Amino acid sequence: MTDHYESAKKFLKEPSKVDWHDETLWWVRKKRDRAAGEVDEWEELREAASNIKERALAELDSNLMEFEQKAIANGITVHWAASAEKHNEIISDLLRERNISRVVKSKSMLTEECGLNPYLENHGIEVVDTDLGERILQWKEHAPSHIVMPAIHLKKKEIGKIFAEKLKIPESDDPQLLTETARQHLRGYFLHSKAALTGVNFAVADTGAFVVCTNEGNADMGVHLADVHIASMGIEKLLPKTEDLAVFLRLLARSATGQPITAFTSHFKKPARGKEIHLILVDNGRSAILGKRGFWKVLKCIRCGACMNTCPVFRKAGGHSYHSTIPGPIGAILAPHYDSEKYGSLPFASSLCGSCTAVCPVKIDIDRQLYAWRQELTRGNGSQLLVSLIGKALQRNKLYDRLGVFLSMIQRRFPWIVNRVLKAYTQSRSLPDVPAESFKEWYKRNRDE
Amino acid sequence: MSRESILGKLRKNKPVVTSEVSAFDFESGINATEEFIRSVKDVGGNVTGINSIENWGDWIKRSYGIGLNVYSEVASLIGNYLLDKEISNEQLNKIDVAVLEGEFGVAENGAVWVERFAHRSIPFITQHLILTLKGSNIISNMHEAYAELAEYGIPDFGVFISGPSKTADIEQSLVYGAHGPKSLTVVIS
Repeated sequence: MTDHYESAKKFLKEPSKVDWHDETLWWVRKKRDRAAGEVDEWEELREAASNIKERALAELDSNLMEFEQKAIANGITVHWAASAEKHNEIISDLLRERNISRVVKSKSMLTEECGLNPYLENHGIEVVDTDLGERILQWKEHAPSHIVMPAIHLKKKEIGKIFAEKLKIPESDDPQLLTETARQHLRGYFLHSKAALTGVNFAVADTGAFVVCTNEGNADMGVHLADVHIASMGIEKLLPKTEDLAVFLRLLARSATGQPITAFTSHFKKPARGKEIHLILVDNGRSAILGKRGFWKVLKCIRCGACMNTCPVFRKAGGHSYHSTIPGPIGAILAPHYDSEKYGSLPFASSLCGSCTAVCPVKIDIDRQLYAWRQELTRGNGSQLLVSLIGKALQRNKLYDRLGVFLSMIQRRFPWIVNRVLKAYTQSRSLPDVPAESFKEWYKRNRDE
Repeated sequence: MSRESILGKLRKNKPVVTSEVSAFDFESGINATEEFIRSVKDVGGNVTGINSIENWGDWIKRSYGIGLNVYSEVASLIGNYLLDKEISNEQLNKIDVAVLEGEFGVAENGAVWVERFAHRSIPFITQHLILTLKGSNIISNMHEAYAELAEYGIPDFGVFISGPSKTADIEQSLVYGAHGPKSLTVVIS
C-alpha cells in the first residue's frame, strides 16, 4: 500500500509552492461560487442533474442499446470494451489497419485510466497530447495532478525550462509567449495527423450524438483535420435525452472553473463526408461499481474537479499524493473499487468536512462514501479493534480514570513513546502539555468551596 | 463479447431508482440581448452592431490589419479568400479571418450556436473568428437553446462557441488563442 500521508511528503517539501497551490485552487473555488451565485436556480439544477443521472444509471443497459442503435444509424462505428486492455487494443488495431503511426490526442481522463499512451507507444504509435497542460506533462513525463488543470503542480519557471529544452527556444516564463510557441509547434501536428483521439463529456441516447468540451479548441482542431476520429467514452457518461444536456452544460464549466460554459462545446452526430468516427464504450469496472449498494452514486460524476479545488487536503497535498488517475475526494472513493489494497489509504486523506459534497454539481454523497469506505477498509483489522476497545474504556468510569492517569504519566515521563506512536501527528506539531491534574480531580477539590 | 458481458452486468447490477425525472422548469430572462452582450464580453469576445459597420472591407482592415485572407460564408460580405471544392488542410490553415453565420445566441453564457460551414474546422483553424447573429435570435438560456435544437434536429455537427480559444494551463494565467481563434467578434444585426 502506498500511504497517502507518505506520498504527500514530496509535495510538502516546497512550502512556497504548497501555499501557491492552495491559494490558487481556492481562488478557482471562489470563481465557482461566483458563477453558481449568478444562476438563481442553481440548487434546482443540481437536484435535476442528480435525478437525471440516477435515473440514467438505473436504465443504463437499455439507454446504451438505444444509443448504439442511433449512433450506428448515423454512421458512427460503435465499439464495446469491457476492460482497459480491450479499449487500448481496439484503438491500436484501428490505427494499424490504417497504417497510422502518429495521432493527436485531446484531454481524456479515461485514456489516462486505461494507460493508453504507454500502450500505443509500445506498439510503435506516437501520441501527441495537444492540450497545453498535457503536452507539458508529456514532456516532463508526469501524470496529470488535477483532472481539469493537469499541470497545476508546475510553476511557470519549470514550464519555461522544459519548453527551452524541447523546442530549443530561449528560456521564458511568459505564459503568453509560451502558449503562442505551443500553438505554432502543435499546429504542424494537427495539419498532418490522419487520426485524432478525444474523450467524451456527454452522449445522448435519443440522438446517438456525443459532446466534447474544450477551452483551447484542440479536440476540434484534431478531429476535423484528420480522417479518423476515435472517441473514448466511459459508459456512465450517457444521458437519456438531448434536453438533459442543458442542465449539465449549465453546471459543468461553472463548477469546474467558474466559466459560464467552455469556449467550445462540440456536438458530433455524423462523420463528415469521407471521414470516420469510432466511438468506444468502455466499462473497465463501472458495471461492477453499479452493483455496490451505498457506493454506486460515484458514477454520477461529470469530472468537473470542484471537489478537488475545495478540498483542504487536496489543496495542501497536491494531486500526485493520491497516486491514482482521478485524485482528490472523488478519486478517494473511486480508486479503492479498483484496488482496495493499493488505494486503501485514500479514504483517510480527508477531514470529512463535507465541502466536496457541498459543491458537487450532481450531489454525490462524497463525504458519506469516504466514511463508508473507512468502515469497509478497517473491518476486522487492528484499528477497528482499537476503536472498539477505546469505546469500551469510555463507557467505564473507573477504567477511564485509571487509563487517564496512566497515559498522562507515560506522556510526562516517556514522551518519545507517545511521539513514536502518534508520529503522523507529532512530527509537525507538538502535543499539548499534560496538565498537573485532570478536570475531574480539580472539580473534586473545588466543588465544596 | 465485450458488449454482451457489459450489458449483462449492467442488467444484473443496476440499482432501483424510484424518483421521477421531469423536464427542467426554468424562467426566461427579460433583457436577453443586453445579457448576451455582457456575457460575450465576460468570456473575452467582442460585440458590435451591424449598423456601426459601414463597409465590411474597411472595417476588417481597421480591426485586423491589411493583407489578410478573409474567408466569408455570410452573404453581405464577399471575402478575398476562397476554398477549393476539394479543401486541403494547408488551404484552411491560411485563413486569417473567417466570417460565419451563427444560428442563435445564448444570453446566460455568450455562446453562439454554429452549424453551417464549408468545412468543420473553419471556426477553429482561423486566426480570428467573426460570427454574425440576428438580434431576434438571442435567447435566454441553455434550456431554450436545446428546445430550439430539438425543433430543427441536432445537425451532423454543431458547436456552441463562447469567446475565443483560451487556456490557463500555465500557472492559471489566462491566455487567448491556445489552438483556436485568437479573437471572436459577434456582429449583431
